[in-house]
Amino acid sequence: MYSEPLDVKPGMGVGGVITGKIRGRRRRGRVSGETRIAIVGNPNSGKTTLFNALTGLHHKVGNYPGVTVERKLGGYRFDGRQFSVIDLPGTYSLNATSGDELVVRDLLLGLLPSEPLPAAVIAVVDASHLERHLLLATQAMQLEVPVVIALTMVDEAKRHGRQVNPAALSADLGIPVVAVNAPAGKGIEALRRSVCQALGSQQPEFPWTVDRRLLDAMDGLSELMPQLDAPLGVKRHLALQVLLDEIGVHPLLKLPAVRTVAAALRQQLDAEGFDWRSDDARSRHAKCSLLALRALSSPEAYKRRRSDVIDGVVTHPVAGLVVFVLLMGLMFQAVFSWAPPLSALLESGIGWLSQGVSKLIPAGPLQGLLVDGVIGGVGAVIVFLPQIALLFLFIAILDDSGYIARAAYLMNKHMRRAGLHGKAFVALLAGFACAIPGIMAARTISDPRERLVTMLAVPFISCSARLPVYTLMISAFIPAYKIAGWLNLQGLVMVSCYMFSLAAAITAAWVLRKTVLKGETQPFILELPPYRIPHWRTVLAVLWERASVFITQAGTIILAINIVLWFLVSFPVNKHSAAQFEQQRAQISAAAIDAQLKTGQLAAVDRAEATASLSYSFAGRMGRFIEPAITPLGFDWKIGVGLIASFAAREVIVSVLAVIYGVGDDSSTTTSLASALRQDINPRTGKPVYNVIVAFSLIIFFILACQCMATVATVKRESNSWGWALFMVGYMTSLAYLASLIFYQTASRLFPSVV
Amino acid sequence: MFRHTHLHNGQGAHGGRRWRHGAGLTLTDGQAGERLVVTRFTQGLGCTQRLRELGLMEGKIVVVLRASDPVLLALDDSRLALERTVSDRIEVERVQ
Repeated sequence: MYSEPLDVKPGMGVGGVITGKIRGRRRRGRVSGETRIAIVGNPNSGKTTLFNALTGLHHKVGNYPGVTVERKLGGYRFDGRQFSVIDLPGTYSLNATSGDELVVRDLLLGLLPSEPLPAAVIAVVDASHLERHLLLATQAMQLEVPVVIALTMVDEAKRHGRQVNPAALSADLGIPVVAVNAPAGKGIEALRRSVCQALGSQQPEFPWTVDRRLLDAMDGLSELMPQLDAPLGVKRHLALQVLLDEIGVHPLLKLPAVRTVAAALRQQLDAEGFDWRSDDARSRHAKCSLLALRALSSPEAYKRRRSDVIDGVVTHPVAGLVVFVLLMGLMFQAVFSWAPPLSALLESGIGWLSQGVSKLIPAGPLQGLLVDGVIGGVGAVIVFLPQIALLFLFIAILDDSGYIARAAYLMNKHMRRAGLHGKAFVALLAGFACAIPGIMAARTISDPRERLVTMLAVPFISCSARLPVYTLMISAFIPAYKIAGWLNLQGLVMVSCYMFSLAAAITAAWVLRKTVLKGETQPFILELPPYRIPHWRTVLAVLWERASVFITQAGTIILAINIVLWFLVSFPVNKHSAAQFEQQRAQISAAAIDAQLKTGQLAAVDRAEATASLSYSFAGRMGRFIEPAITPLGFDWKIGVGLIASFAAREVIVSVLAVIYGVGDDSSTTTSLASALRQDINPRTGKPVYNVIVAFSLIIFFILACQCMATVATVKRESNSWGWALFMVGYMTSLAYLASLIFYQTASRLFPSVV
Repeated sequence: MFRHTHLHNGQGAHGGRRWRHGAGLTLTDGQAGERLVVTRFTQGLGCTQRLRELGLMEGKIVVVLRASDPVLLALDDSRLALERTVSDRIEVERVQ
């Protein structure tokens, strides 16, 4: 009945079969003297908190090769041995659907050649969802790897009248079950000891309880893998996944023999007339129900919980939305109130450092590179850290408390109208801080099209870097007027900028889903975790990770771009002009005038020289080159220089304009620059260069354009395609140009007296 | 096992509970506060595996917490939100 066994070499692992390369006999669990432990568990089971407690926050974060799934590796020493711990993404079972879950499946079943198989598995089981969480633990127990169950949320289960007996569960399963309270650090030592003991002992395998006919079919497929270096349990899981995969995306289905036999077996099983497809799930659930029943001191029953009372309000279509808007309003109010003083402090520090370096190194290209290129580049990143950190702090608190899932529930209907998944809301929210973590948050969306649409929509959200532009234009051209005596007009315009960017993101998503990314939407299925008091350690760990991502991924690119920018604005040097300014300085120095006046005049010459140098530089020439194209938008060459510079990093336009208008680089830059912009006169027309219409045209351009190379790099990495990244740059830039053009041309005709 | 459960002498087929036979009821039809038993996942529901992993399967009793889109359910100690495209394809019967 079956075809010839696969043509494999002895010792070839499962992953080696798929890749066609011989990897040699894969040893379990040891990597350079360390014993590898994997932590698995359902989402929201307390897995990451446990990982942090085990490894003490000393962990490395990276990506699994070839996929955009976070890889967290930590370690600890126990009993003279070094253990490395890998925190696998949350999954409900080994039958994977999303990218995260596929990594768990592939790693545990040996389909990831780059990762060693774990020597032991810690299965995190939430005591208040015992029956369901045992499902994954029982699957792990069939892989012939020592398993220890870490039982979390025991106190919470007790509060709901469910007393779990770890000893009874351990006796039933035949493996260690350790109750842990990771936030309080309880049970961690016992867990480490149990892992050590489990490594040295033989554990019973969890029995397969499927119909005999299905088991025979699974074993039949396993016979095609006789020389694979994998235990029978692993082969049976692989065989079952292959049989259930009728679409054909499982890696083993790339092998023709497996594909043919699997199709034949499906037909045979269908002819038997029983529901074989759900057999394993049903029988496993039944077994887990029994295990849970025996381990619990009181039967499960629906009891209205405090969470349900709160959800009665929080998930209400009207009241819930009110709560949501209030919470978001409070969050943003706090961020925009608390961040500026911290940013100002950091700016002062950067300024102090620049001055120090300027004193040490004589004026010249080296000083310029270090001060304007390197320190300026680092400063451009660091100054946004307070805003980003605060926003992620609030998001982490809301997430750990359980509220974010409720928000995703509320937002799902609205996201759906744009063709987005409910989970996309989290990505869009993160985008208000920085697009990079927002784009990365899309990883939780399993459908590739929906994930891509989310990634392409997030860059429209007004991130921290756009704020300096809005602040400058609003303070320069919108009067500080109070509507009805209380509503601040400038504040209202600022909020409108954010609302417009959100509308742009949602509209873009809708258009993409109707055009280039058409397709069915994945159904929204979400488990709402119980409300919890956020634990400070978890919140800080998340905050640290997000801030690190921003600094390492955005920061490095912005720094590199800043150095290139420094070159473009600094060269070539107009020696003739430099000599003239030197002469002016000499004349002023020699003049018999008041010292204060002399200092002021010298500063004015410095500023004039800076403006002239910029005009003469490569950047200035590029600004003049694009001027004919941007004049219909109401922009001149100076804004053109700013636009060119800001295509690397948006916030740079303010400092470039500051240089052009010679207003210096101190804490009063925005005020001085706003004043300078209002006073700038076009020499050809004799009219002001800037007015409120130009200001709005520039704001619209900044809202819609893709002006962050770090974002482009992130989209490329997450989509694994330069095509999509460049498509994003193209369509966003075109949209920004068109929108500014339409606005400026329409507004200038409707209000000719303004221009 | 629970596909078409009929009343026999006022007793139900499962532990003395009485099922009220509803014609073609789905989870979407449930009202807030109602207790329903899942009887069948209908043809075309592609996420049955995921639902089973979350504990929602034939024979399970759920309580509708919010009858909206997505519908909010209490399933043992879990709280699940299911979009209408999913809840439309889960057949249920009312539990008295």
